[in-house]
Amino acid sequence: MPALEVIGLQKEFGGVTALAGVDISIETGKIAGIVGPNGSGKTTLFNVVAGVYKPTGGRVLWHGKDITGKPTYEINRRGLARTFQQAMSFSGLSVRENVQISYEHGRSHSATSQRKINWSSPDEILSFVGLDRVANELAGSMPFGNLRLLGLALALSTNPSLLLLDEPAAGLSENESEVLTNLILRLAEMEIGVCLIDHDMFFMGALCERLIVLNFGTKIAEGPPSIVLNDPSVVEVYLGIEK
Amino acid sequence: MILAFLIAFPLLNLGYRFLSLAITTGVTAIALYGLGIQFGQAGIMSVGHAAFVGIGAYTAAIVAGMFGIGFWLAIPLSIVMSALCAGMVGLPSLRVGGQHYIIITFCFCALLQIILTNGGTFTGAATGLDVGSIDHLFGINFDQLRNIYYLVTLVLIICLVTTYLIINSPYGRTLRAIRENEMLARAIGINIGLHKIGVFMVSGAFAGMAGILQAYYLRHISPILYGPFPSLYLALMIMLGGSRLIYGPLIGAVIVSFLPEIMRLDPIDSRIAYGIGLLIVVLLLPGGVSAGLLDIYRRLRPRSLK
Amino acid sequence: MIKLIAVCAVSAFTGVMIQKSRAQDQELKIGVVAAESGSFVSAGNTIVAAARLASQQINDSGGINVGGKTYKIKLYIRDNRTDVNVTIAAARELVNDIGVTAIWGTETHDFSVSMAKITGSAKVLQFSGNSSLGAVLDDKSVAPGGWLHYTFQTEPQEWQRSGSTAEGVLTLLTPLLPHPPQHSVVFVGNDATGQYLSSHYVKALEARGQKVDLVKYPPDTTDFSPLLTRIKGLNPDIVHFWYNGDSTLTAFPQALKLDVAPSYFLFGVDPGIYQQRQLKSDKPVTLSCVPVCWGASPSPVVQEYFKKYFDLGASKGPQSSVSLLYYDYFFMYAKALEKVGSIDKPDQIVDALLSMSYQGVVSPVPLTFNVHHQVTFATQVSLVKPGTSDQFVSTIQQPPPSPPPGDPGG
Repeated sequence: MPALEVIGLQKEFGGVTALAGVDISIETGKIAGIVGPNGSGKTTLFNVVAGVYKPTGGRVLWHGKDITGKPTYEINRRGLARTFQQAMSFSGLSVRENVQISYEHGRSHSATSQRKINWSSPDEILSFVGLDRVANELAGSMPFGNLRLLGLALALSTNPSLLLLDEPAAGLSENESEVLTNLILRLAEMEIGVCLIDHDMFFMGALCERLIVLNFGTKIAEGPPSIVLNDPSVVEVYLGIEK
Repeated sequence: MILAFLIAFPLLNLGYRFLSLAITTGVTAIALYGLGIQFGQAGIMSVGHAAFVGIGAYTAAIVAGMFGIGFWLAIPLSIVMSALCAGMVGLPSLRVGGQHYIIITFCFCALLQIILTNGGTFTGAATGLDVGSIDHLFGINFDQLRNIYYLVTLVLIICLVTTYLIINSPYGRTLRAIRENEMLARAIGINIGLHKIGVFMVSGAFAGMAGILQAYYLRHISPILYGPFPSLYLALMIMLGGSRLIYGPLIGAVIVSFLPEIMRLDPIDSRIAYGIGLLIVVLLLPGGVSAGLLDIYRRLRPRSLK
Repeated sequence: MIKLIAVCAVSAFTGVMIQKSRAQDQELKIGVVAAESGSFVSAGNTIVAAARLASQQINDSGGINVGGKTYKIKLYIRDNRTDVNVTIAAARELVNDIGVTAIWGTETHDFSVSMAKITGSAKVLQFSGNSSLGAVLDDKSVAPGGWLHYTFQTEPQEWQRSGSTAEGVLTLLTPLLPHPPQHSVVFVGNDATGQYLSSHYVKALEARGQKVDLVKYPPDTTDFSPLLTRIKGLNPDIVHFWYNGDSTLTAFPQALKLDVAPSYFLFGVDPGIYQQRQLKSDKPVTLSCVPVCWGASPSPVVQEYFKKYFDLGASKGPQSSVSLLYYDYFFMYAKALEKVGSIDKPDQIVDALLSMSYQGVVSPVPLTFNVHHQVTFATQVSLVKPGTSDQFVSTIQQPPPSPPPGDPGG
């Protein structure tokens, strides 16, 4: 059974249609990628799935159970975590305190989240993402690359079985991207599902086992990167965008 | 060491005037600790806090008058009533967005004052309600000013300890998360609505305790004590003193209560002084006077830094 | 040599005499708690001024002779900054730190009640000019052991004052109006004192055949035009501006501008201040004083009082006559002390006060306290000649014998 199933999902903001009926399945233990031009509905998809918005139509199923329209905190407790496009943190608190908070909440989540990981302490999480040396720094004063890692650490602390990463590589240097890639690969090894959004086709093509292409709120292609990226309709949509 | 000073204070024999002012300042500080948790930890300011002090006070006075319930048994009643009302007042803000909360608190406070003033014999209307003295407990006579002072100090110490425990607990960390980034807090599984109502109730509970203490010290309460103006003073005190450090609320209460006394300022000059103080805090000392003092302390003793 | 001895002898003798007179002059500690700053400063200042005048006069004329010793009054004046916490702290200081035998004050019902809880249990006498104390002075509270046993209300019961005021206002205004007034609007600040006073005044007016609308304003109001316009729409014959005097002085000119009514009554505004502010109206305006007026004093005694009062430096505020609620009782207290023969017998002093009469300035009739520790005297109501600021006609109105229907008394 797929971990996450999105069926006919629709979302409208005023008169603007962000999602026009999207069907997607995501499995744990695999790395899937969602790509598409700006405004194609990628982040909106994440936001609706994660409970930030209520859809105007369609359903979201988590391990077979309907979670459509449930609040974010509830969805997170069931094992679905996400990061944000703009690197978010609890900026006035230290890095360790940031992770400690999400760790404490992760621990109290119900067992139905089918958790794949069980962290023993916030420090273990910090070591995992490589932030242990800056644990005492104020989150808000950290460089961008570390903020991205912190966002990942926060999401991981909640013991998810599926991670939604929104443009995790945006703004990262070559080295930082490589570190991120390795982390994501390790997560897949730990049987945690990862679904990411990004614009960097090279990065996505190398990392993802499966790509889903969105345009104007609909899915226009799906499959292994080698096939999807050579699909004429996909190429047409991406004409002009750098690889 | 501050605790030692608080306890030894009456022994300094500064006179009944100072003792009386210390008691009323302590009561104000107790109310402020509630606001300190709500604003300092969760980041949610209120300009209607005096209303919850009033609910505690009036609950105590009404149950005393109607059912003959004395001070000690009325304490849980006052605390619970204030907490419940504070929670209820916060409910609408969950729907319409947190920035409306502060307006809701102001309106509630003004509304409460109107209800109390026009409440007929039940609330005593504008003439207010009278309350007896605190019953003896374990043989301690509370007609003695010194004993009232110790009672207030004891409650204040409980507030300090509670605040300390909250700050250094997962609950406190959760509140800080909500303060720093609500969206992110949701994403890591925090039920914002529940925690907000919870912190409103905690804040209200402190206010309720302060209310019953005030009722039994002044022994006469009236609506004018619990309107928007006193609420603004509480907000002023928490900002002056600092909301995030453990002695902030106490420092805020002491400054506002004792500055006019020591410098013999009349109410107009005091308000000018507070305005200047507030400007200084906003521009130079965002953490309030308590943060400023901590900073000075750290600079003078660098080896104490971890 | 002889000169030296003579000088020594004289100085020794003088020294002994000075010692003796110092030993003879005891100190009678009296406290005053009043608003010398803050929003109630107009009334508060008058209490302080009255205390100063009275104690100076008593001390200058030789002090008080109690039990063979001469006592001079030493006043301990404490500003309550219009704050209840400061009031309580001041009361505690006066009672416990300084050890006064009596306290005069305050100008506010709430403060006076809180203070009475302290003075009462310490057996310190308290003289408060708040008619609203009538709500708490009852058989139980004034009995020995009751918390108000040592407290005295130096303002007449409100139903009395309201009754005499209403009678005076209607008597003065009726001849000047095109038809006998039937509809009155009472405009009052909505706090403890305002609510209490207006509740009695409304009954007093209704008992005299008036249909009354009560309009309340928040105490801090400065722009009264919305409410005044509404009042105008009610078409009243008289608008009665009640408590408090400062607000009335702000609201009244606004009302004149809006031409709200054919006649007015201003409570607590002395003719003296009306004249000083150069207020002028072509409609008839009546004023009442709390209790008798400066600027249109009804008798040479009162005129003399106010002359001395202002000469001592008191400010000419809208409520200067409030000082008369406090002044006479210094002399009455002195008389009671002399009668009892000791300053340390509060119970006997209370009994002495309750059984004596004293001819004061505030009333042409001697003052007495009733069983509920309250005084009774007439109210002066004045009419300003329309179109002038300084021509007044006054009537001294005796209080009615009993409360009007619907009035609980007190």
